Amino acid sequence: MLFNSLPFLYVFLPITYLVFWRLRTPRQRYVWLATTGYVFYSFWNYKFCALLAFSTIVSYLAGRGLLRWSDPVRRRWCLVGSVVADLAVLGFFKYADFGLNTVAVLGQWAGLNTHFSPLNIVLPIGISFYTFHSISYIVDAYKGTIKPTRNFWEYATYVSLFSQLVAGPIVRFREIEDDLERIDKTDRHTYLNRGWSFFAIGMIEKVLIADTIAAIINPALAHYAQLSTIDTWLCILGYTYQLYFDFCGYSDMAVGLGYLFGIRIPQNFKSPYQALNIADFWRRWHMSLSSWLRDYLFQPLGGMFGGRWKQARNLIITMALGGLWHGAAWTFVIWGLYHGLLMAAYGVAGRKWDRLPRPVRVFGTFALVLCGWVVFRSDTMHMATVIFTKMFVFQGGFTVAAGGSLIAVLMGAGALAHYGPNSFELKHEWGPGATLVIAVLFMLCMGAIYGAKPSPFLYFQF
Amino acid sequence: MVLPLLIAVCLVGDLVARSLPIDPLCFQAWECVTRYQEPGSIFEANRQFRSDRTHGNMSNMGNLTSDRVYRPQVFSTDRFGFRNASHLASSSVRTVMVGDSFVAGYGISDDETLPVQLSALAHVPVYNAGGPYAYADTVRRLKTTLGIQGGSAIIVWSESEPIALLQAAEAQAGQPNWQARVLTSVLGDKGREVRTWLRGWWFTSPVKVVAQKAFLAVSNDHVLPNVYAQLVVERRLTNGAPILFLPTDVDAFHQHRDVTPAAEYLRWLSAAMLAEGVRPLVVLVPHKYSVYYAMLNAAQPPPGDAVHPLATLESALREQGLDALDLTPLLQDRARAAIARGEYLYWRDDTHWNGLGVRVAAEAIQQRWFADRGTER
Repeated sequence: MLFNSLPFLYVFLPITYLVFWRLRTPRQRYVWLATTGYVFYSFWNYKFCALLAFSTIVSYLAGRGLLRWSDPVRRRWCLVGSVVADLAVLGFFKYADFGLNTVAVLGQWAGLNTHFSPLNIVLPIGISFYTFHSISYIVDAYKGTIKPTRNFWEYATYVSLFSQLVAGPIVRFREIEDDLERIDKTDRHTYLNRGWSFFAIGMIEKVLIADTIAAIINPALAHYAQLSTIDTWLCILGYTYQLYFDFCGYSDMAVGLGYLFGIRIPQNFKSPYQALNIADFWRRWHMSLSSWLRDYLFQPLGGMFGGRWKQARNLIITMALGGLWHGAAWTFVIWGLYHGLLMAAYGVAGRKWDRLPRPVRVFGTFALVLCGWVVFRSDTMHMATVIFTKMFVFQGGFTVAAGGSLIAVLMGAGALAHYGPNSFELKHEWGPGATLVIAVLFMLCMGAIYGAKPSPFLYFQF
Repeated sequence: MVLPLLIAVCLVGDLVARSLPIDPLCFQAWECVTRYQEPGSIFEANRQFRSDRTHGNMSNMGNLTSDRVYRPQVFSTDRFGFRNASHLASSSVRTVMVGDSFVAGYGISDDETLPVQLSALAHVPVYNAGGPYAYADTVRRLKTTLGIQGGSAIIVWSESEPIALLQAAEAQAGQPNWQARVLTSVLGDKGREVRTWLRGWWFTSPVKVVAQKAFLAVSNDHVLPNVYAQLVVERRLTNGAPILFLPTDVDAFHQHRDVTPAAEYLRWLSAAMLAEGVRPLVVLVPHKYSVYYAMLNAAQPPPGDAVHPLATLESALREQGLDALDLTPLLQDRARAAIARGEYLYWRDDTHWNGLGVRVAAEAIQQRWFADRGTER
């Protein structure tokens, strides 16, 4: 079920909301939120609810073990067992076919007969997100950063909260622990306006900006070999803004929905295209993932300790695995490696970069990120190569259908992304004029939801 | 609090609008008259649709406004939900015609349908039972409701009609789904009526139709790309006129096709008709691309079969002792002659034949079964 769909807006959200606020005890509210999370999830494929339940139960039991035992060996078993179980499930469902295919290709190169039939495993939606939720919970509990909950339903609510279940943000338990603990004491009205405001902004970002861009660039990129240089630049710029407004829109809606239930979900995007350097970009883009990678991968690898080469190695490994997290394809790994190299290069030449004029740094960072999106968007490295060639070897023509509209939308989207405030910088206290504008834009969103084909969020596929 | 209010207003508006008629929003009668389907049929009972400005399904599917061919249309149904003049449902009928939209008459008026034109030529009342895919079940039920004794059933099978769907429809016919069973057990006889109304109410949202039309209007390659254009194949005829085809029909035509499933199904269907005491007559109708392939102004790939599959199918059925008539060669010849006059046998913006094409088919059927043998006179 999509946030931008009629069943969600007309049935799921009202029922979940009204029943939630009729319930009084924490247990009732936990059970209700956890159950609705499963209902929400089952709209894609109810069979995969079992996986979600498995991950939840394993991590919960491991947490109980960590709470009970102080013996380091037993504690380590709790950590390792739980993380291995989570990663095994993720690895099988997301990477098995990719691994088999890679082995087969390598075998062919080596002259071996290594043909494997693909397993054609269906990727359970959101598995990357809830697996990371569970791992962060167990690692934090092991390190003593959080005290694991004894309440199963509280933990189940944390994992399966519908607003963040399928595409994040990757919320840490400690970030919403207080709100979960006080779930029965929250006043319904405290965050109501703020929640709806976030939700409306997210909806507008997703439906009016991201989906409009997608409607124009997707048909063009389907025939990328026929694009001219101008077409290609427009499409890649379009994808750059589409991806941002799509995911940022989803995150804003998730934050807004969290507020409606008294749960403050942390910020996931902080105007990333206003970043001054690549490290700054990763502090602003998909913040919940980058901080997860930093805390649970980069730092255990050694972090910024050691020499420059060691730091560079840690950055490159972290970013390559971060790329792989996005999808089981070499394009994602290469995209991750690219960012790892950029981060390492910034580590070496950062001082020189920081002396450049601010507009040059912002523009340079944006250009580097944009080049990365070419690989990210491409289905194959061949496609990425063709697109790069078209971008930098001039080829005349302007063939994108509705190209004028695309330019107009890109100008608006660019102005918002580069100069506008992000949703967390807004006060969310609107006067009558602004309310009217938001209402009109929201009604346009409703019109698009009714009239256009439903468009899933890009990050659902990860 | 404005937003939840807006959502509530949209919801209430949508629910209320579902009670309104959708005729002014329809580009075709078919959209409107299939809303509240009569059980056993696909049309509403005792329904009439009139419009002076309908157009074809392909120009709608491809959102190609410039390719639309506007025409008036009257579509009326009888008390059983079939497309007949009301008196036919209460008179004694000995000939029933079953088939898909080619029989029911998609995009043409009441007086142009195949059963009506055949009735006029052969002076024999022909009941139009076109629409539902369960042909054997339809004839079985009409035998009871219309009191048909003996007589003939003309089975019209169009080339692109999927056999698997027809077989599935026969298998499911007469087996109410769980919703119908629940409604019938709760409401008794009223259950069917309520289910018909609920289906129409639930599945047709005028608000959605309006929003979709608005979205299609801006998907014009200026505001937004018209991605729907790829759903149809546009070609030009030898006289330069544009003509639209279904991509699946075009693709299938250029590949080898096995007619065995169709032959087996039609044999089974004929046997089922005979078991009901009704004589089956099989008419094979080519799809538009099969008729116009040789009249396109640009070279196309060769056909997948040297002999058209419908000709092969006709031979196979005749070998089994079934009466079958393949309309392909006749329609091809007449279409070629008509193009010279700037006329067409199929709508250029639709998958179906027009009144002229139906006339050609009706004449062929009349000459084959109702003139030479005189069996039905």
